[in-house]
Amino acid sequence: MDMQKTILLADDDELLAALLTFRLQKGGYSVVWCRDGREVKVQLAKAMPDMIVSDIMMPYFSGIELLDYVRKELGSPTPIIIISSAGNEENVMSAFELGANDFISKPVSPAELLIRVARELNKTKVGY
Amino acid sequence: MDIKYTYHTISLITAPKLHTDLLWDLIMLFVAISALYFVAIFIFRHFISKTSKRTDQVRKQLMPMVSAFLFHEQHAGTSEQIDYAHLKMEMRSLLKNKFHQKVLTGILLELRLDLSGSSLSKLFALYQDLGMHRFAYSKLRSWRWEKVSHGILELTKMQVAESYGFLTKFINDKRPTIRKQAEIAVVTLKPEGLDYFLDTTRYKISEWQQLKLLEVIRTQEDYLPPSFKGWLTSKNKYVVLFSLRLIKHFHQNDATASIIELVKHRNNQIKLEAIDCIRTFHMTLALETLKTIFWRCTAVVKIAILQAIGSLGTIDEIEFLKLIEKKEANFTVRSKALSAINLISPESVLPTEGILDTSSYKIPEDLHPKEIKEMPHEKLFEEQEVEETTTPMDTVQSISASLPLNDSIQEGSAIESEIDPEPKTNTETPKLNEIEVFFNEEILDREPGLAFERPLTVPDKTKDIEFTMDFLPLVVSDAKELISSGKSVAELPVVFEELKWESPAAEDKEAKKPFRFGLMEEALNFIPLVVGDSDTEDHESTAAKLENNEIDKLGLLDIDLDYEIVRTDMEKGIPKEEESFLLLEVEYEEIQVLPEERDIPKAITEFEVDYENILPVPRDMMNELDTEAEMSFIGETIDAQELPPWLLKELENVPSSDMAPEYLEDLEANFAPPKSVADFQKLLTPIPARKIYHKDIEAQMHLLEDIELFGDTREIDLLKELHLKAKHDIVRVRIERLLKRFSEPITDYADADRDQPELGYSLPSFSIFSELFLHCDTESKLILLKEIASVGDEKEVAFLKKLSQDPESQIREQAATALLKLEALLEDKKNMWETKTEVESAAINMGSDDYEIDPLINAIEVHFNQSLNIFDIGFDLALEEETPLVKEQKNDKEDDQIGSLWRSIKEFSQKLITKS
Repeated sequence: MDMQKTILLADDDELLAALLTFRLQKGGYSVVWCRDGREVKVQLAKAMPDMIVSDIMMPYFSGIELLDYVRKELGSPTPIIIISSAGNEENVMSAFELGANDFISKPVSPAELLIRVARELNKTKVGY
Repeated sequence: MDIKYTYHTISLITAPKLHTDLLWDLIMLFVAISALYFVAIFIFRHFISKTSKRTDQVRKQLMPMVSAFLFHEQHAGTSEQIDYAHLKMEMRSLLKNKFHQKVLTGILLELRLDLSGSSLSKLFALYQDLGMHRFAYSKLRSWRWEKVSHGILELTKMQVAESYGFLTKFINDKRPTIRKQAEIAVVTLKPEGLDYFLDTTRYKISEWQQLKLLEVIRTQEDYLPPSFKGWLTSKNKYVVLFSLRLIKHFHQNDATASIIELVKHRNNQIKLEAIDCIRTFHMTLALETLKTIFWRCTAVVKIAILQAIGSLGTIDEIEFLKLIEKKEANFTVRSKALSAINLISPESVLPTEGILDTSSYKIPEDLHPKEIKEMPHEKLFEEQEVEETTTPMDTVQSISASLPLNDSIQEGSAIESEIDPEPKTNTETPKLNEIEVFFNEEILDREPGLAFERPLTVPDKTKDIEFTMDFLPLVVSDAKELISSGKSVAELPVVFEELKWESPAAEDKEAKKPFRFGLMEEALNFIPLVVGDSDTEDHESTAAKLENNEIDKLGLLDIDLDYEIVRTDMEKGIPKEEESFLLLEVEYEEIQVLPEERDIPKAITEFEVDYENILPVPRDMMNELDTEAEMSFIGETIDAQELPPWLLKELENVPSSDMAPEYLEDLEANFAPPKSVADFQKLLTPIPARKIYHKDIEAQMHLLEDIELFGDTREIDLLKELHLKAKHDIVRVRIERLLKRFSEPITDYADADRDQPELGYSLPSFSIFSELFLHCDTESKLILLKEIASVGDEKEVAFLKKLSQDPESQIREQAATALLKLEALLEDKKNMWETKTEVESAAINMGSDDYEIDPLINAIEVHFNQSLNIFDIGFDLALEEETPLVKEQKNDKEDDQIGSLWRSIKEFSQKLITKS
C-alpha cells in the first residue's frame, strides 16, 4: 500500500492556503502549510516533501528563491508547482527556467490543482 | 490676597502678567486631554486588536466550514452527509451573530478573488444558500450611503441576480457613489441591465464610469450587445456620448444617418465622437455635413473634421481644404488642412519652410562630364548623393515628370539621369530606326525565331512615329562596364524581344495548336452565334464575314470557332459540302423565328421550331465527341440500352399503327402519326417532335401538362371530373394516362429511401404520414396512427401495410387496426363516389344532344358494400342528443312549413278577393 504523499504548501494567503490544504487533504495528501519562505526553509531542513506547491509572491523568501534554493542548494528533484497571479509571465518564465515542474495561475481552481499535483506525482513515480 | 505671578518684575522689561494658577489649570487641562487621548487610543487599539483577534478566531472557525461546504460532494457517504448537515446547522446558528455574518461575508468576498471554475460557482451558491444576500438587502435600507454602497457591491460581486430588481431603484439615486455602484451592479447582473440603465438614467455618466461599464460589458461571457443606435436619440447627452462610444466599440455601423446628424450637436464631445465614428466606419456621406459645420466649430473639432476629410475625402475636397488653408486663422488648423490635402493627393503640397532658393544655382563649368566618366563608381555616387540634397525643386519636378510610374523603370531612369551629366541632350527621344538592336543569346535559346542580331529595320508604318523609350528598362550586364565605356543612352546596346503580332488573315497554321493563350479550342464551342436577320446571307457568307471583319476588328489571334448549323425552311435546298464547314472550322447554331410570329411576343416554349432539318454533323467533328451516347443521338440509329428508363417506358406505351387511336387523325397534316415503334425511334431525338393542337384542346392540354408536372394523387378527383367533361379523345387519353399514373402506388421515388435508417424499412413517400413518422418518437407515432383512420385516404393504405414490418409491436398492432378501419372507410367512400359519378355523368349527358334515357337508368345502380353484414353491429344504440344547431335547423324547417301553409292560405284568400 502506498504511503500518503506529503505536500508542502507555501502561501501567505491564509484563506486560500486553508482552502487548498482542505482540498488536498481531502484528495488524500498530507499537507504542510508554511506562510512564508523562512518557514519553508525550516520545514525543508526537517524533511523533504514529495511535492512543493508554492506561491511566487511570499514574504522573506519568494517562490523563485525557493526554487533556486531547492534545485541548486539542496539539489533536490522534488516536483514544484508554482502558483502565480495572472499576467506575471516574467516570473513564470524564470520559474520554469529554474526548474519548476508546473504552473497554475490565480484565481486557482482547486480541482485543477489537485489534477496537476496528481500528474506530477505520477510522473515521479513512473520516473519521467 | 496676594496674587502669585509666574515671574518677578524686572525693570525695563514689560510682559503680560498671567496668573500662575491659571497656568497650572491649563497644564492640568492639557494633561487630562492628552491622557484622555491616549486612553482613547489605547481603548480603540485594544478594541481593534480584540476585534482582529476575534475575527481571526471566527475566520479559523468558519474557514473549515466554508471549505467543507465548497468541497462537499453530493454523492458522499452517509456519515459525511450527516456531518455536512450538522455543519450547516452550526453555521446557521453562528450566522445569527452579526459579527459572524460580517466575517463570513468577508471570507466569501475574499475567496471570490482566489477561486475559479466550479469552486467559484459553488461559492456563489453557498452565499445565497446561507442567506447572506438577505443581510445585504438589509444594508440597502440603511440611511448611511457607505453601507448601502457596500450592500450593492456585495450583491454584485456574489452574482445575486435576483437582487437586480432592488438595485435598479438606485440608478437615479441622488448620492453619486450609490448611483455609480448601482449602475455597475445592474449592468453586471443581467445582460439587459445596460439597456435599462441607458433608458432610465438621468444623471451624468462620468468618463471613468463609462470605462468601468465598458469593462464590465467586455468581460461578460456570451454578451450580445444591443443595437446602440436606439440611444442616439436620448435626451441625456451622456447617454448619447456613451452610445456613440459603444457603437464604435462594437462596430455597429448601421446608424449612418443618426451619426451624421450628431455631428451637428452643440456638445463638442458628442461632435468629436460622431466624427470619430464617421472616420471609423468610413461614412463618405458625411463629408458634405462636415464641410458645412466646419466654419462654426472649435479648433479641436476642426482638426477632427480635417482628419476625417483627409481619410475619407476625394480630389473634390481639395478646393475646400485649400480654402481653409487660405481663410483659417489658426495655424494648427491650416497645417491640418495641408496635411489633409496631402492625404487625399499625396505630395501635392511640398514643404516650403526653410527651403533654399536654388534657381540661381549653376553647375560649375570646370566640372566636365568626361571627368565624371573617369571617376570611380563609388565616388560618383557619393557626389550624386550630395547633389541630390541640393537639387532645385524645378529640376526634381521635371525629372519626376519624365519618369514612368513603375518603380523598376524609375530606377533605370534614375541610373540614366545619374550617368548622364547633360540630361537635356540625352533626354531627346531617339527614333526607333536609329537604335542599334541586337539580341541576347539567352533569349535565343528559348525562341530562336523571335530574336535577331542585326540593325532593326523598322516597318514602313512606323517610319513617321517617334517612340518614347522611357518605358523600356535598360538591361545592363555590368554597370561598371557601362560607365567605363562612356556611351550615351542612345549608344547603349539595347536588348529587344519581339512579340510577333499575327494578322488573322495570315492563316498561320500554328493557330491549330491545342493551346492558345491558355484557351482550348473546345472552350469556345459553347458560344452560339445568333444572327438577327437570316434572310440576308447564307451561312458561308456569315461565317466568312465574321471571320474577315469581326475577328479582324478584334485583332484576336486566329482562334478556331466551332459552330453548329441548324437550317430553317428558307434555307432548305441549299446543301453545303461538309468540307466547307471544315474549312471554316466553324460550327454555329442559328435559331430562326418564323416570319409571321416575329411581332408576337411569346414564351420560348411556344415557338415552333423545325428540328427535322438538322444537318448531320461532319464525321471529323463526330470523332471529337467523347462518348458513344452523344454519337447515338447524332447518328441515325439509337441503341435502346443507352436510352433512359423513362424514355423506354414511354416507347413501350406507344401504340402500334394498328392500335393507333383515331384522335391522331385530328391533328394537323404536317404531323405524321407514327406507324410503328421504329418510326418513333427514328423521330426520337433529344428534342421531342412538335405537337399542334386546336385551341380548345390546347388549354386543356396545358392544364394536364401542369397537373402532370406538379400534381399527385390529390388530383385524381379533378382528373375524373375532367375526364367526364372532356370532348376530345386526345384529352381523354391523356387524362386516363395521368389517372393511371397517379393511381399507382409510388414506391420508387428517388427520395423515398432518404433518411430512414432508424426504421429499418422504407416508407412510401407519397403519404404525408411517412414524413411525420421519420422524425417522431413511438408515442407520437401511435397518436398519428389513431388519426390516420379518420384523416387518411388510399395513400395511407400502402403506408400502413409497410408499418406492419415495424420492429415495435405497439406500432404494428396500431397500424393493423388503423388499416382495417381505413379500408372499411375507403370502401364506403368508393361506393358512394361511384354512385355519385354515375349520376353526375348521366346528368351531364342529359344536357347534350345525344341524350339517351336507357344508359342513364342503367347507370343509376346502387352498390352495396359487400363487406357489410347486417348482423354485425359495430355500434351501440343510443338516443341521439340533438345539438342546438340541429335543433335550430329543425325549428327553421318547421317554421318554413308553417309559413308556407299560412302563405298559401293567404294567397288563396287574396286570389278569391281579386276574382270577386
